[in-house]
Amino acid sequence: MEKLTDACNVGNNACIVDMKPPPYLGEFEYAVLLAVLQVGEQAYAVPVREVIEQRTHRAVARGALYTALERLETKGCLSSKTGEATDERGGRPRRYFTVTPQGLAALRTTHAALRNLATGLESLLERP
Amino acid sequence: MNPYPPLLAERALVFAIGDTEWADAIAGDLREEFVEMAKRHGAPYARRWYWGQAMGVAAHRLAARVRRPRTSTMLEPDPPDQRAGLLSRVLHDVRAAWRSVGHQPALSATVVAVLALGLAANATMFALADAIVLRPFRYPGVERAAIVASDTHERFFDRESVAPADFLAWRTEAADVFERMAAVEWWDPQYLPDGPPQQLNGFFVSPELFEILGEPALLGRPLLAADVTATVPTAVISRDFWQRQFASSANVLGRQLRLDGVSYEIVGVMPESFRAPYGADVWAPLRFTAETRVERARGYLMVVGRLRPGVTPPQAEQRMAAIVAAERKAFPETHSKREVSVYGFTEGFGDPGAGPFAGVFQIAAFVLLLVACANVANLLLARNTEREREFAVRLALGASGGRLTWQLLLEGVLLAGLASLLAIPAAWAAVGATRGSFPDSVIRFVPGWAFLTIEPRTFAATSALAGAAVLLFAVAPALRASRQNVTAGLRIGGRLTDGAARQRGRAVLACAQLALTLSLLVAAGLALTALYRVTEGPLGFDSSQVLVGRVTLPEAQYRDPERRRQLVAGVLRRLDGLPSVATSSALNILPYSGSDWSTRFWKEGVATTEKDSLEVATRSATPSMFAALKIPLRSGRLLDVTDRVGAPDVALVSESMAHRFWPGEPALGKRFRTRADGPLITVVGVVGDVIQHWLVNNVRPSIYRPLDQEPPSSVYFVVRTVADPVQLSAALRAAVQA
Repeated sequence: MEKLTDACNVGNNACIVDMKPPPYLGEFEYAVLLAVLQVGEQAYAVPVREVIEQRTHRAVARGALYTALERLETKGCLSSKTGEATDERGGRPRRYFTVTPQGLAALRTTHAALRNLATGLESLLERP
Repeated sequence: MNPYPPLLAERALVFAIGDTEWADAIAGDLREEFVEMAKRHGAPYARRWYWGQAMGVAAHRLAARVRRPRTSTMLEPDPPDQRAGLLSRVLHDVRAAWRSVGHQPALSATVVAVLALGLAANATMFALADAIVLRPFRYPGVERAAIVASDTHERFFDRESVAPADFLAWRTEAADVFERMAAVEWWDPQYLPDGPPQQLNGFFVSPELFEILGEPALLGRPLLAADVTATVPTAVISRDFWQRQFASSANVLGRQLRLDGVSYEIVGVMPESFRAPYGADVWAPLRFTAETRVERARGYLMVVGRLRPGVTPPQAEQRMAAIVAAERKAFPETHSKREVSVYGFTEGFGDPGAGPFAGVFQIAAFVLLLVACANVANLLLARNTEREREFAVRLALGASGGRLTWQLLLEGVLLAGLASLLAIPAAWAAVGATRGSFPDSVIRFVPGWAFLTIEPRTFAATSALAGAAVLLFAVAPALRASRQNVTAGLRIGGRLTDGAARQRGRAVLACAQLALTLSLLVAAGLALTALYRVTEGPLGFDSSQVLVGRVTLPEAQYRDPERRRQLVAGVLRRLDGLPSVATSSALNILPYSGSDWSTRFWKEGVATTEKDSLEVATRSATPSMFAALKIPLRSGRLLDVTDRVGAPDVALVSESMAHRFWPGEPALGKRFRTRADGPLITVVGVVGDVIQHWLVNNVRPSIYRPLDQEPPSSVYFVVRTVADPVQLSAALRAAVQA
């Protein structure tokens, strides 16, 4: 039984995403996807982390970021491609991330859900 | 060129990640940030930063992989996917082992604590042995450095034994085996700063010493050949002294240092690791006078050489032996007993007591670990009795015996791994306590003490030992579990008690544990008794309520023996005037201080040739010294104030000396010489033996001469007080300075 479920999870992302509503994102995943969009084409882990730290004023553990990136990729929210290898990286290539259409859908769902929750509380939330 | 991050950390990171693409991406990112960090904060900071980050990321990734949702149970016989990589299969097994360990937290915690105790004891002792026995000196050139000693038939391997004329000749004669040779003379000068005078650990050295050991200066430069002939005396100081006295001031170079009444210009500061030999604070160039250049009889130099590439110390010794054989013929007067020995620097300068000392404790620690292993094996066997049914189910579902063994071994590895993680901080604390518990005066003579800390190799040794421990405690229970009787185990309500064979096995383990514990207890008791004797035991004198101060008399001012006599008499007079002083006295070598002074010795009637000379320890003391240190009189009389210069030459001898040289007859009235052309000295009394050395060579035949008849150039004032001796230290200092 278990092996069947495993196979479906790993091999059939597209079918799951197509058939189910986009996944709801955790707070950190939400932040990571937004940061990838903010950085744009050159989004690999180092600038993504910097953007999150600068804009949220919170320290981000590198380990946590890589785990989240991998999880988002498994969920189909991010896709990645291998970039160039440079000397200062010891000959190891960068891994660039792009938000997929599914990722964008998930972002929209989460963003809308949060906005709905906040509706009517603007005076409270946006007080300086 | 970009700096490199720590290779070990990078490897560990890549291994922990497993997936090659991710490993490349993450390791690359970290390397990129490392380069940036090194530019901003320097390479050492960046390396520390890298270790922290790499370990953090690795822990995150490992945790994520272990946590990956699965519904498998511990009963699952095989990994889910045989095609999966080795690492993921191992991880699967680790997860199963982890669950099993977590299943009985109290038992697992006990096992881990017991193992950690055994491993911590071993790690501490390994750190100690590594620092003081295996690698006490870590200079770049230490591998090829060797020490040469002039031995005699009586004294084997005396480091400070080479006569200046011999040394100067060897430099050219032995050039085929030694590239360079350096001589070192003990100095220990008196330093006169603005505050109270201090005794420094100092040496006169040939500048080649710095080249031979290959250690560059931290600041300025080491001594150079030009310093030997320079008109302005120069000196190099240790980093410790630089911090202590000059508060690490950057402009210390060029400042003057007044040592033994002579001004030396500081030209360099050596790094912390360089204190050769014996905790040196200051080095000045060794200069030979016209007189010392031809000195062949008196050997007082340590000689260190740099072996030519490919030459071993035994080969060098062979060559040196040929040279010394020629010297024996050329100088029969002085060299008839001369031998030579050559040792590698580490062997030669290492503490001879350190090896056995560290060995005993390492063995004790190892026995402790054995006891712990027997204990843990017993616990695991008992636990396996409870898990019989689980094993039976696994076997019935098709798991092989080997697989079950592997799984149980993995549980053992996990327990040992946790134990070693716990052992390292414990060992760290133990090493700290060891460092703090030894006085500076002892540490000076323990080479390598500075390196006493937990290093990566300590961690590696502990891990290796933990691996060996797994073999000891986990293999027997694991093998036993795999040979399970499936039907009996599966029977509902089947027995959950031990079979006879298993009970026997556990009884054997319990007996072994008890036997080892008992022997360890006895050994520990003996070691404690020995330690007590070394520190508090009968030493032949009583050091309680005694205050000691040492004064070295600058040679330039105190060449005249009469001035030395006057100084000692003056200080003693002032000390006797103090109300809390019971007895004040002076002598040249303090018992049990690590230092020694010896002289040649001929009984009356023996030809005073070098060949027939013996060697005994010699002390110059005031009559009151025996009362101050409570050294008992055995026969005859003590020294007296009338034994002054001009009066008949007299001496006291120690009990062991009387037994050795006049066995079966009274030593009183016997006469001897200490110089070939010297006067006959009469024995007027026999006093108790005093233990002179720590661990080695503890009782030496000794003679005591009246200080008046042989005033030394360095004096200990020994004061027995009626109050707390420490309160008197300022008064003693004042009495000496007045």
